[in-house]
Amino acid sequence: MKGLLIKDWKLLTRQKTTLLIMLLLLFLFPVLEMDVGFVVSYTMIIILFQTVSTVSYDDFDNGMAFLFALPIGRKTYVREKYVLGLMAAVFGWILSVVINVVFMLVMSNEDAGTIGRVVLSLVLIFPVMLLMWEILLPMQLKFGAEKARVVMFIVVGVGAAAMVIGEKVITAQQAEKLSYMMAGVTPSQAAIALFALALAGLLISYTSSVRIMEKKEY
Amino acid sequence: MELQIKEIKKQYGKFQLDVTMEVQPGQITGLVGKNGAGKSTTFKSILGLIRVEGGEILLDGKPVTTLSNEEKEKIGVVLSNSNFSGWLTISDIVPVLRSMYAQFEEDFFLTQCDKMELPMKKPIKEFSTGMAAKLKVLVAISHKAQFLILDEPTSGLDVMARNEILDLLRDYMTEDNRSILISSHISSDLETLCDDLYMIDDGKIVMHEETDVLLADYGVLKLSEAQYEKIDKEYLLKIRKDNNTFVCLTKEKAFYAENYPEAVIEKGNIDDVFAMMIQGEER
Repeated sequence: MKGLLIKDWKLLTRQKTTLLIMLLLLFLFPVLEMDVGFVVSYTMIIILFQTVSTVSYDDFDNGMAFLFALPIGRKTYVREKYVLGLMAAVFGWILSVVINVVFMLVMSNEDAGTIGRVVLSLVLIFPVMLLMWEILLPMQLKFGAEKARVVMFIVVGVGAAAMVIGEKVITAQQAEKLSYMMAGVTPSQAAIALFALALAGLLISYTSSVRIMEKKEY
Repeated sequence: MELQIKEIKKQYGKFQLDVTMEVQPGQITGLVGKNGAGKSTTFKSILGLIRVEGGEILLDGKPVTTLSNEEKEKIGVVLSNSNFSGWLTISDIVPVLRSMYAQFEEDFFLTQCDKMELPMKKPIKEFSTGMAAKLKVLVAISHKAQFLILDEPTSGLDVMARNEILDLLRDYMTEDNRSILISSHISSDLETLCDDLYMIDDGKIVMHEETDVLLADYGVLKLSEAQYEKIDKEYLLKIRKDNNTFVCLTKEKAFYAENYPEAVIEKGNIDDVFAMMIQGEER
């Protein structure tokens, strides 16, 4: 597992231009007063897509056959991709939230209460992005780089739609309104439900990915 | 280590692999065959990259499908058309190998890379065929593996580079209980390296022989029709008629040389024997 993580870290850091552009935008978005929810979603999408793309790099020139000839089980390979994705998701979320909070404190002089509420609403983005990635990763493993690109477009479309809908749903007031409408479901309960959904998705996604990889021949 | 392949079967459309062979401890065994004969399929079966539909493959008595990662560390592998991701550099793969193999010999690996002038910072996808081949072999022999599985390791190398690789493999074999299974389409590589050879054609093993016996006792007789009529055919394995000449493969070259001094008898080499085994007809 450690060897695979190192390999993927090396592959990811090869994508210097993408990472640099992402970092630049991360600092530029708050200056442009872009919506914080969008910035966090954007960062997570880019980072998660990058981790999924390591599967294509592994597959380049029939490289997967070589990887599995090494002391790496199929299950270990899959597990590593999920660990990598989760680590990247947490990192992407924290990075984008911290940058935005710092900007809010320095540029907009927002009070701690407002910032706290914004950060809480941003927590909901995490399981939504995770769900997208949970669909994408097994698709990439099953169909490979070429076909997965089509799937990626679909997932991005669905993700974008979810984001638009999510944004409307999760603003503090509307979340509150919705919570009344949903017979007393509080935002925190909604968050728990979303995280539970993401966790269930994670289990299904992981199990499917293991099955996909164990069936594959190289 | 000992490898036993017992009646493994794999079907790809009309192609049917049906192989039984073994590699003894301390031996280098060669697998010869033309493209598409089943060499790579056999190698992939051993490595669990494809599922076989019958038979079993045992490494030191244990089914290869049940090998733990620790046991897989004892195997060094070269695949003919596969390597580390081409986007990585040698500098990138060193820490990967360090974490993957408990006994990774980093100093040896780096010294050999330097000796073979392999660039440390260049992505592998930009390597020449020769450079990539050298890297693959170095990775396979740099973690104290007990068993090497080498599919076309010298493919694409010039004579000098091939000799470097073959010397590395000979050095590797100086330690006890190590074994190699190797395929190559360059027969001279196998003649000088292997203890025994298997020939595979259309998914089946058509011949198994010790290399010394093959080189010493096998021969190709070229006979006129009259000579062919008179000759004792008991020791002829395969016969092919080229125009008016009968080309015959024998395992008893000395017998014919002694009893039929007028017959043209050529020393057997792997290519000739292999060609006769698949093109010739049974006596």
